[in-house]
Amino acid sequence: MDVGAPPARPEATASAADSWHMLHPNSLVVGRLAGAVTTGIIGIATFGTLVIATLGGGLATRGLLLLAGAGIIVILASAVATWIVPARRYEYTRYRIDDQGLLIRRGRLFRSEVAVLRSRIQHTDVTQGPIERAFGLGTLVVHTAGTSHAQIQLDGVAWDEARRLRTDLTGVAADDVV
Amino acid sequence: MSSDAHSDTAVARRLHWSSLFFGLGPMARSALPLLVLVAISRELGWQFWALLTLIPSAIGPFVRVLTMRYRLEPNELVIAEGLLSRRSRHVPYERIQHVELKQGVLQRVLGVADVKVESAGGSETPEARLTVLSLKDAEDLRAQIAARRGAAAVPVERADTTVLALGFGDIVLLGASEGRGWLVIGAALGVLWQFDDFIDVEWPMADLLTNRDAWRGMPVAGTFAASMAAIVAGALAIFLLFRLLSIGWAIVKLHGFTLTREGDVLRSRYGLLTRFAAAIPRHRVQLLTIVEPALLRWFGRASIKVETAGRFEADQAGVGAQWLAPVVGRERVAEIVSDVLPGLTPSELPWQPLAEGTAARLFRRTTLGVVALSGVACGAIGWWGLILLPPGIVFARFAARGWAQGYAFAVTDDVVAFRSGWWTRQTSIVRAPRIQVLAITEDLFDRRWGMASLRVDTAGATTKGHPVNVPFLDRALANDAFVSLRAAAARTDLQW
Repeated sequence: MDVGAPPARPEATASAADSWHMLHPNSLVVGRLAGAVTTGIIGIATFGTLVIATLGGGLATRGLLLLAGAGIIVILASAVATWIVPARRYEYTRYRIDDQGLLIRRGRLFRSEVAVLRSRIQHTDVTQGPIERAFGLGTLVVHTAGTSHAQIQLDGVAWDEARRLRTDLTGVAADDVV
Repeated sequence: MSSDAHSDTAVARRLHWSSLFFGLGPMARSALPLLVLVAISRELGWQFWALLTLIPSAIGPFVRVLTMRYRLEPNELVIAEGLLSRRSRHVPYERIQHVELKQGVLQRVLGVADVKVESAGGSETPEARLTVLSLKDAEDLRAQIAARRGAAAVPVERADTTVLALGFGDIVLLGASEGRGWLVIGAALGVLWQFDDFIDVEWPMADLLTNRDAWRGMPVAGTFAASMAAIVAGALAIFLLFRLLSIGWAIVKLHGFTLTREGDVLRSRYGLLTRFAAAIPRHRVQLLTIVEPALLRWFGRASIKVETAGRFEADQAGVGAQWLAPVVGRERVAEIVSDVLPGLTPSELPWQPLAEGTAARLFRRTTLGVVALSGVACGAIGWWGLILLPPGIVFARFAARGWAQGYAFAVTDDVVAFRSGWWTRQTSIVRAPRIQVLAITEDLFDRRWGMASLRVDTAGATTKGHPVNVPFLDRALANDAFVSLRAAAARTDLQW
């Protein structure tokens, strides 16, 4: 696995200010926490339903097998959701601000790169949920007049960083007339 | 409300008296038939109680209609309403994307129109809606808005020029190619459904579907061939019926369609029963699409649609003001396009095909679908399901080639354009200042084939539209286009 460098693309920018940035390391912890909670809820629900069904059916062998199978699937799914997915997400997400605007790259298997232009930003939000607050993180939400990309989110950055990005994006923006 | 002293035009005006009916909204309006039913029935049935539940929902709109006033200030349209909690909305003229007038049959009889004023907001509902104004007031309002906006911008040539007037033949052709028959059927079923309780409607189809005995009386075809022929003939008859209904729909909807240009504003007027009149400032167009269904193509014609930033409340047929030219001869397409996007000729763009493997990928994808379909068929009717495979694969071969040939992509330092389609060919064009967000995506298969998709997001895109979402692009080309379009868009300020 080629860790580190984001999927490369030659571009003629060199200054340190507009280099690619990774998310805050704490976002990995938050991602894992969120994954654990989600799979935990789904897992308990599935498992509980199966247990009740098996007990109701008088503990047949087939029921027990089903139970064991479900258990394995739940454990595998939660392992993927809490260990692998957040790790890869953290690893392969990069963002950058340059004179044209904000760029966000995500993913490895399903790679994407989104560009928001400074002059097209309608307004921005910086938000923070309770878990994000506990880890000192924030989310930058950029609103455009677009349709399918009317809202672009960058979560998993430090709270101060999110605010800095916002100022950087909107402060310099040309005074467009909407 | 007292009139303002700012200027002589800033007189607060009221809605037309019939607003008390039209302004109530469909909910409360539907209470009227109930009211009639209650009046004519002897005892208090469910209709009475249903009517009672509607009263609270009608109070709000009722008060709104009674208290609503609008006035034309020098720079903005002001709409005030409310009794207990007051609200006044100010819409600056220069922000107004377009104005739409709509007249239903009843509204035409009364000489009133429903007026919608849209500005560039992402919201689904119009910025201001005046239901209803007398036709004179409505035309006056529209003229005032146009005049004031025009005064702020460039001096406009006053003369109306007719850009397009549709003949009967063109409308029939459009109906035949659009396939909107289901709309008519749906509307008819809806009406029947509504009156189901009052009129004893027979549902022969439902009976056939639910009651097996109903099939007994049907003549049974003797041979396999005969029954196959019957099925094919039936399907053909249904298809033709739908197309006929679709032609009927087009005639009702688009009768007397004219497109005129008055300075910067394009106006379309159309409709047999319900009249629509829409005004689109030319510089508000975000995306332009040339639609060429096979039938129109064979007759050497095309449709032109546009999207503006103010989102139309899509009426059920999805027409709105978006139909700039429902049917136009191919030789006039370039002229109309350059009328909306000055200096742009679609055929002169640097068109290029998509990546090398596009046809192969489409063939694989379609074949996979055919195999899945025949698998399902096998589940239903046994090994006979495999009979679908040979024709399916032949189809996949032709379709893949057709689709691949239909695709084309063009990018310059000012424009991005995308064409797609086999039977119905659609060409969308976006200017750099209209680009909101750019995205490039690659999935697992794209990686294997060295391809990527490019998405260009614009304001006010509709779900039924043809956005510039280009799949199967050569990866290097997609990256170059992404970088150059981003730079081109960044060079220009946003223009509404």
